Amino acid sequence: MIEPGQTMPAIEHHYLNAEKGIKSWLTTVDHKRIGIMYLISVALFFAVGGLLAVFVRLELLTPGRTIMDAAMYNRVFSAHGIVMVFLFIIPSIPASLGNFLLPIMIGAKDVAFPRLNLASFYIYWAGGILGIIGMLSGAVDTGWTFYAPYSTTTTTVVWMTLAVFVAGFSSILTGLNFVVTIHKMRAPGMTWTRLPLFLWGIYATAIIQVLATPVIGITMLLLMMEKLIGIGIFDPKLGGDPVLYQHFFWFYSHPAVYIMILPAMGVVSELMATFSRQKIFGYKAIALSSMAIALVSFLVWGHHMFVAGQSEVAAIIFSAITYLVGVPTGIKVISWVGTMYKGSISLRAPMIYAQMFLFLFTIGGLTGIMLGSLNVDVHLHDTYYVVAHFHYVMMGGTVIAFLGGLHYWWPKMTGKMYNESLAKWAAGLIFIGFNVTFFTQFIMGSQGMPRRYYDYVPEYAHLHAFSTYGSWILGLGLLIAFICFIHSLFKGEQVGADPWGGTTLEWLTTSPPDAHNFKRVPLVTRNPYDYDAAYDDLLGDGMGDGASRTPTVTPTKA
Amino acid sequence: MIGVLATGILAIIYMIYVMVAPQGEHIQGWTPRASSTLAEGTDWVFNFINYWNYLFFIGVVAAMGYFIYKFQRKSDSERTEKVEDSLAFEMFWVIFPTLLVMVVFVLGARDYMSHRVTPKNVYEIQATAFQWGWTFTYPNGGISDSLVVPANQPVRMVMTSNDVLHSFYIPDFRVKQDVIPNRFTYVWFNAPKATLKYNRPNDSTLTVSTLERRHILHCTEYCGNSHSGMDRNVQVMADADFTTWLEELTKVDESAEGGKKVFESKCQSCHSADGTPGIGPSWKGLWGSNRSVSPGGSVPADENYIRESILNPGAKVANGFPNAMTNFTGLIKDGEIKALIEYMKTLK
Ligand code: HEM
Ligand SMILES: [Cu+2]
Repeated sequence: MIEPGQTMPAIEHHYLNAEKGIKSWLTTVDHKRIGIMYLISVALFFAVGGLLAVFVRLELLTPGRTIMDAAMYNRVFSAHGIVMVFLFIIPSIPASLGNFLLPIMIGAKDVAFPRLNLASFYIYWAGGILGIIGMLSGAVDTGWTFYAPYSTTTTTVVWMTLAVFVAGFSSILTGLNFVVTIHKMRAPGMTWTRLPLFLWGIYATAIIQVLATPVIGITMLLLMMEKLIGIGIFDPKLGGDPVLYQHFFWFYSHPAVYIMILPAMGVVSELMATFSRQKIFGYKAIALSSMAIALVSFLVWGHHMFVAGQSEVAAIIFSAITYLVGVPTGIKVISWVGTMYKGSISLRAPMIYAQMFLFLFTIGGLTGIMLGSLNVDVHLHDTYYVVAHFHYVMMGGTVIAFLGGLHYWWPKMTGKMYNESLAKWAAGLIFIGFNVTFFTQFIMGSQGMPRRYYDYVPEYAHLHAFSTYGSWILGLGLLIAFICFIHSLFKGEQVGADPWGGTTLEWLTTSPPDAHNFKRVPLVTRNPYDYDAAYDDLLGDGMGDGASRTPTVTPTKA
Repeated sequence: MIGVLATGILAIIYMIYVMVAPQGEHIQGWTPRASSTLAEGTDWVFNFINYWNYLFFIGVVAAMGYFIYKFQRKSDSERTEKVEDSLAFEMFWVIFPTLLVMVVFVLGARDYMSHRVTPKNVYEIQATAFQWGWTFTYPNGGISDSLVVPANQPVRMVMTSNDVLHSFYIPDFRVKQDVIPNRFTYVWFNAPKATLKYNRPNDSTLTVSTLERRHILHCTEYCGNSHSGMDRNVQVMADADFTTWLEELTKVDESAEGGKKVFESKCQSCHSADGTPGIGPSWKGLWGSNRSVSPGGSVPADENYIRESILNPGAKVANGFPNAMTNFTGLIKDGEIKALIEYMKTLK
């Protein structure tokens, strides 16, 4: 233990230098190393998807042909969607931050099934490689939804659906691993109501992953069989029903929308608490609403099909249930804002991202209310309004929270602090660029600009050009954020165990953590955000590095 | 801190700018010009939700801004006051939004039903979507490629697709409905104002004048390569004009000139007239040449081959091209086929 008043020396032994060489990484069963490998992988796919997005926006800069023809454009936007959804955003937070933090935050040594965890990583890459093969061997031009019967006319769809099918297993196994870990491996005293909210988010996500992902697997299998041997389930030419495909697809993909956002909500809860030094306002409301969202999300898939030819009764029921999902989401927003009340707010980069999340996600959620309204959705469905809505939720929500979480836990993962002003510049550019890019699309969409269009009527030229300029600012911001992280690896200042004054368990172990996370099994004696109880040990020495916080960790038999 | 405020203010200025920036004469504010009786209901609910959304959004952002300003950390060892959870406040935050969204739901659902229940005395038009175009068949048997509807009368579109999913969308009318192969779906609307007028200076010449900007029909279910090329004009005509137009429609111009028009509306998305290969073979030099096809080896491109290629495209597929052409049975008139053949003869 370091005495109060002393600076932190570099830690000698931790998970990064416990073993050496590339092989020790590729065969590791340490959840932290697997988390880091996922982090690098999803960052890679985010870069690929982002590059494709730049091309999509570039093509739309002017009406008619700008840089590519229609056939190419259709492949590019499809690849963008597929990479972003299946290879980036679904694994993003759970597989990287979740893997790294979940065992530490519950005071465990590892996840329940460490080997399975490594296997999930390789399965994810198998899916990724199949996807890359699919892209290089012609690429699908179906959009990420693979709607039949158009998809059954493209040969390469088999590679892509196989990629989705395989990647799905990784998602299921990770979810399973997390559910068992949270149930079985919590440290003594870590009751359910002492679980940090990030883990509530991960837990709700894991349940959806286990229950919903098999459905997309089966759907993809059916689609492959339709394509290869013509079983006649979706293709009307063979007596099939294309609307059935949409039911199957959205039965997975709507819950998947929550696989994407619930972990992000968890991250934001952590950020709000730490940087407001305040317990989360309505902890139980947030935890319960995560579970409520997870369950109700299975009942609203039909809101993607209001104009697809389903019955009016079905449409009305789906609309009603959709609104019920909106309410727990609203409760969360109020709780986050409430957490700042009478807090001690520090606007470090992670908190700036949390504020950006609140701003952007609120817009995303409120425009969801618009889309849930039956008559309005008839007008807005499959227009740029929907594109803007889900980018506000997925990019403005999940990606922004991911970036915030990454800044927040970066010192824990690497032992190094990032450069604050560089990080703030990046955040500012991302915020401006994002709004210029996507807010414009709300306007285009409500004026009737359909989505997935290579070409458009001159009325929308002005707004499309604007949106493209925004994408350049956004891209620059993301690039600077990336440079900021790399810069910190070489030039970052060494940090102590708890640079932020966080109160959850991960801040009790060294930065970077020991290969076994804790030297002793922690005994948890208080709620995760109980700043009252933590005050004395947290702030007693005025260092805020948690060095003197021993009373919360009582040695037990290891 | 300053940076955050500056970006926030910039973002808001930008949002106001895009709202008021010039966007063409037909658009006011959020939604396009309301041009059907259904549009008012949609816009009413749209605006209702939008005003509440502004209110909530401004509330959230104002609270964020105020708290950041008010509770900024002054020193690193600052302590926070404990805030008690307030049950009354939480109950309010559950019950009030629930009631509000239920109101929104009922408003939307009620108006949606008026979109779905067709009034009596509708004028019925059959629509067929294909990759990548539309044909509209009128009660008198006339077939048109652009949509012309009578003004101030409920019109019902009965729609099906020849190949994959498409969707029928006229933003100005606020109507949308997917078009599905092997199934009929419908949509109805009533456009009160004429956009097009026939003038008859003397009995032999008809001239057309545009009263207002045309409306656009979009395909909004992604359907492949030329998805965005499935835009068609929608014109609304007053009763007398519409009757004239309908009479004109059933007359077919069987000359090469007429064939060129048919080519441009029905065939050009896949075939060219200048030798460049598209999805299908170019028509230049096609007439009278020997075609290598499968099955069957080689056939002369004569009237029978052309006719068969239009009405049963899968029977003999030109080598080197996919079997991708739409079956035009019921989408094209005999006279039009004759005209196309006349036109092909001119493409040496
Ligand atoms: C919480 C996170 C959310 C995420 C990640 C999300 C994501 C998405 C995505 C990806 C789509 C597009 C589907 C497509 O490709 O067509 C979509 C559409 C839709 N969303 Fe959300 N959404 C979220 C929240 C909400 C909320 C709170 C509501 C309503 C209360 C909502 C209502 C809808 C509706 C009705 C559609 C269908 C719109 C249409 O296709 O016309 N969403 N959402
Ligand atoms: Cu289409």
